[in-house]
Amino acid sequence: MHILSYVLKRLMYLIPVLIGVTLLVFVIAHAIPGDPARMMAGQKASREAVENLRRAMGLDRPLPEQYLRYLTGLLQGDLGFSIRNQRPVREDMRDFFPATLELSLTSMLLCVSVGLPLGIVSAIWRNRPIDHASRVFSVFGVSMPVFWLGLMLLLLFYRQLGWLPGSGRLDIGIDPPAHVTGLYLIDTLLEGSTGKFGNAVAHIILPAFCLSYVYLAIITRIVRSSMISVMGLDFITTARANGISEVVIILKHCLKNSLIPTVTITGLSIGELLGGAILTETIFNWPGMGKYVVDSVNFLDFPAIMGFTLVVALAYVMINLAVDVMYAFLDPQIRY
Amino acid sequence: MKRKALWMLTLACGIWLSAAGSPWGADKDTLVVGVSSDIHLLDPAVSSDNYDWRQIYPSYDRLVKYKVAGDEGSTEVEPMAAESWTVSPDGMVWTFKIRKGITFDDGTPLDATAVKFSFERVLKIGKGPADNIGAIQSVDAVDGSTVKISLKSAFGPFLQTLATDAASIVNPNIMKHEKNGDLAQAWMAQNTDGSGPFKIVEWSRGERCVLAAKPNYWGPKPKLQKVIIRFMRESSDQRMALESGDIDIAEGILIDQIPAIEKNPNVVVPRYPSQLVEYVYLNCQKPKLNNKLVRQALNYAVDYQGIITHVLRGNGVQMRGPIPKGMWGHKPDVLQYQKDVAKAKDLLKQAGFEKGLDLTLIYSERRASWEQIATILQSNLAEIGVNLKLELMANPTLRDKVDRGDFELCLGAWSPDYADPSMFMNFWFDSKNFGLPGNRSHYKNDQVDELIRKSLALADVKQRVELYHQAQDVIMQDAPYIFLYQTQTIVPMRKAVKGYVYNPMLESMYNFESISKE
Repeated sequence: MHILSYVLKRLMYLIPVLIGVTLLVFVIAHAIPGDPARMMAGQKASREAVENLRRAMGLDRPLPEQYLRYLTGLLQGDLGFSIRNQRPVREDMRDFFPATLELSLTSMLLCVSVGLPLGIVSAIWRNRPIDHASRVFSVFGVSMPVFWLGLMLLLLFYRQLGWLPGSGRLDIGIDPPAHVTGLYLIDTLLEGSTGKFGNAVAHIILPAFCLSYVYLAIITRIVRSSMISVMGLDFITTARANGISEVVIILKHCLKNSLIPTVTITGLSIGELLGGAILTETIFNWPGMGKYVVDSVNFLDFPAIMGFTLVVALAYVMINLAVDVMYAFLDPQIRY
Repeated sequence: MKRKALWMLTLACGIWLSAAGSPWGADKDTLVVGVSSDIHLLDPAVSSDNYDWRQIYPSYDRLVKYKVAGDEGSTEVEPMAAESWTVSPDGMVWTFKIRKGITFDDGTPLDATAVKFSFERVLKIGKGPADNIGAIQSVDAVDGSTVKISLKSAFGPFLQTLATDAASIVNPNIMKHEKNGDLAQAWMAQNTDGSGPFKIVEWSRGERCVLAAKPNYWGPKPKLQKVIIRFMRESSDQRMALESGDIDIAEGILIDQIPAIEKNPNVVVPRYPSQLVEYVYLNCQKPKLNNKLVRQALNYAVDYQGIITHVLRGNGVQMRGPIPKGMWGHKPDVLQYQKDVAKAKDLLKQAGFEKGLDLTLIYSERRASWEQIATILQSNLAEIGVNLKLELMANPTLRDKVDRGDFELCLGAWSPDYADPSMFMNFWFDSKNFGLPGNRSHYKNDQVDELIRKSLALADVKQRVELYHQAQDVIMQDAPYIFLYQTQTIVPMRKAVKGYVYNPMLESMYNFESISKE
């Protein structure tokens, strides 16, 4: 099968997956005991005020009718209306999703650019001091609680040393750039303000490191172990016997053949990160999806919860698809 | 190559400068407040959330405002947009004379029409804030500067309700933003249009909200030019920013970090007695708890001082009766329960539970201290033979259970919306208010109903106090709640901040118009 038709087929599968997700989340969200109209009206509100709100939000309609109305809206690109923020969920996503996307992509960049070389170096100099150091670094990363790491980073680099700024995406007194992509690293450049860009870079360093550390550690360990297993295979010995240089052997033969598990784990990690890293976002006051969805759940803001789930499900499916397509490039034996 | 190097140098300088620059709180014209919750809505007719009111309140004028006596906030009101007022002898009709010369940003005058429009809009929308001014029957603009408000029935605290956020006077021209008959709710959810001393000039969700002072404000000119509200959920983050001088006021620092902050010479940590109280609802409709002897026994079992000393670290006062200290109507000699294990056991015996009983306490994580308090209550009640099962649940679930009366004991908190004891007495004990609206212990006593309803309809404060005092004596014997404590509000701030006034009626809100920085 041609790869294009494979991709199209996978995209077709997306429709039932997303409908299934909406149905599942709708049922679960409405099974939670609690009344969003009461949450919205305030805890001292009279029953009359709560009933008015329930009618205004359409929450007095039967559940199947509410679901069908939601689906109809969805087909027209309408993600619904946030009960808490009293505005379209699409607008909320526009505000909160870019922050998470920016942080996730920066973290992944950090993971791959540090984790990959570290894993390779560990595998080449296996059981040597550099390997031990890299393993200690990885074990530390996998086992360190994120909230503790985040606070320590802020305490050291912001409060004590003053080398990096505190929480948030920009300094307190700096006006955010005009919204084009919502990614400050890009929008500040589009605005032509290198000062703001530098500030945005300075602000993303600590949260990106904090968020990436766990995944970085995992990637390092996976690259190391898969490199070691590939390095022991016959074709590598043959390559060496043929006098091919060690650099070519490592980078072309070993690395390429050990990349499949790395790509899998990287893809899954991006999906996970896009779901919002609530702890990192809370500690570094990063206005992303993690904070948004926790607030929405606490407030029983059903449309917001559904919108969030849909976006994350979509991201997961697309990333998985991208990972599957990459397999074909990495391993010629895989054909679609 | 040279260009690339130059670019890299600029970037490096940018990063370095952003870290090494002077703290943002150093600007004397700008106040930076670190707060723990984002804003969600800006419409005074829709929002019931103090965190929203923090931004809405300074953007609007109201007919009356809370008095400031010296540097202390008061629960009494004084004229604001209204110059003066009169009330009919039966307390049913209030006539306000509106100050001339107040205008909205587009030049529209704040007059009787604007007041009528604003109040009618709140009532027509009928959401949470409508309850605050729900005593109003009709509003008439007699002439440009006279507005007549008729009430459904005489309502003692009416004037106080006009100082609440719900009574903010909005520009009638907002109706040009109306869509599908929504009375401009969609637009007002994200914008303000008032005549107050500040206006919102930027709101980046989840990041910050910026208010700019209006130089031509009709009242005393604000001393600050700009206020930045920075949303910072994490307590440690706020603490670091406060100590570094990046923020001037930190609103959400946890109590266990306060002693460390107090050691910083650049920070002051004032404490104010608040009207926020925490208490335990005892569901009077449930078997076992429908016996007042059992409820009294539970009240005698609790170690009130232990909770205040160890959980609140001394930042609270045990409640005496349902009306907290500082609110008129408080009865300083009403029965106050103290820990008395022998008496509690004796009461349980009289109630027929000498072998003890099993009860369940529900609570949520809404307050960090509740886990500890629940555990202390469990151990206190164990001393009198009550096996207290603890059930932690999500706040929406808990609220649902309280509303339906599906619980035995529940931990809760309450703060009044306006300065009147009815916010405690009528909300908590009137049998018409079963469930979340206020009577969360589902308590019913006809004598109490009669006393508190009578008091609410009177205008004479002395008579009202007398009736509330009588009701309090009955209530304390009936013991429908365990009154734990009234809290202290702690507002850590930089020493340079001057003129902050705490008002117990305006929890989490600030008098930006009179704050300055040295």
